[in-house]
Amino acid sequence: MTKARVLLDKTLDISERFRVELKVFEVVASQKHPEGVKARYALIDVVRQVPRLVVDNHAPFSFHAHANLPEAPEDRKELKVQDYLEALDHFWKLVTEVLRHEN
Amino acid sequence: MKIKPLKITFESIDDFKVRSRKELLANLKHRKSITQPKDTLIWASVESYQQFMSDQKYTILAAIHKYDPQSVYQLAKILSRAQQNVARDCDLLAGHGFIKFEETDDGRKTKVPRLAFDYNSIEVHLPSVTYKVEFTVSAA
Repeated sequence: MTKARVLLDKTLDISERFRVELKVFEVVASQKHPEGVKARYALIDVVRQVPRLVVDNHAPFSFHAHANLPEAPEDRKELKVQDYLEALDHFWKLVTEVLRHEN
Repeated sequence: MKIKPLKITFESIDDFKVRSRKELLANLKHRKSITQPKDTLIWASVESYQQFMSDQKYTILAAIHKYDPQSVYQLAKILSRAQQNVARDCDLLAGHGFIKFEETDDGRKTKVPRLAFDYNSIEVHLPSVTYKVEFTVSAA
């Protein structure tokens, strides 16, 4: 199996409770990742040890947000974005909303 | 072998956002790889880091470095603190990348707290000055 190559792997610790993880990998193009790039942008609730918000991309959903984590992991909101950068911008907007609401 | 310090640096959410975007753009274009060095943690503000990093948490890191405890229970004993409180602090330290847990392979799968990598001090890079916290533990 070919190993995924890391294109971006960064974290930002925001507070005791929240940490942002940005991960983008180059993977073998497949049905799940037709463009050969897999992205996962996550806001982690460190206190509860669960992801609070995740934006990722995989077929058949393209870019989508799991904004009601951890309670509703199957809730997906499709994002109207063109690429990984727009998805990242949208992720930060959602992060700002969560922080405003929960801090 | 020289033991490296763990470095704490600071970058506001806005600066981190802009820099990550630029890096991602360049990486996607040139298929380059940018990863955060394993010895560096980035915090969004000095205040949030200082609120998080209590003396007790520094002491946990120092005790792990010095005594190599084989469980959170043992660590709590070394520190003379309630296991529940030490476990909570360890979970937070792990969640923020200061430590990791390894499981024993003796069938009991005890969680063994370990430093995220082999470091013996923390260098805090404030905007205008850097200070170093060296790990020393006095007997509890």
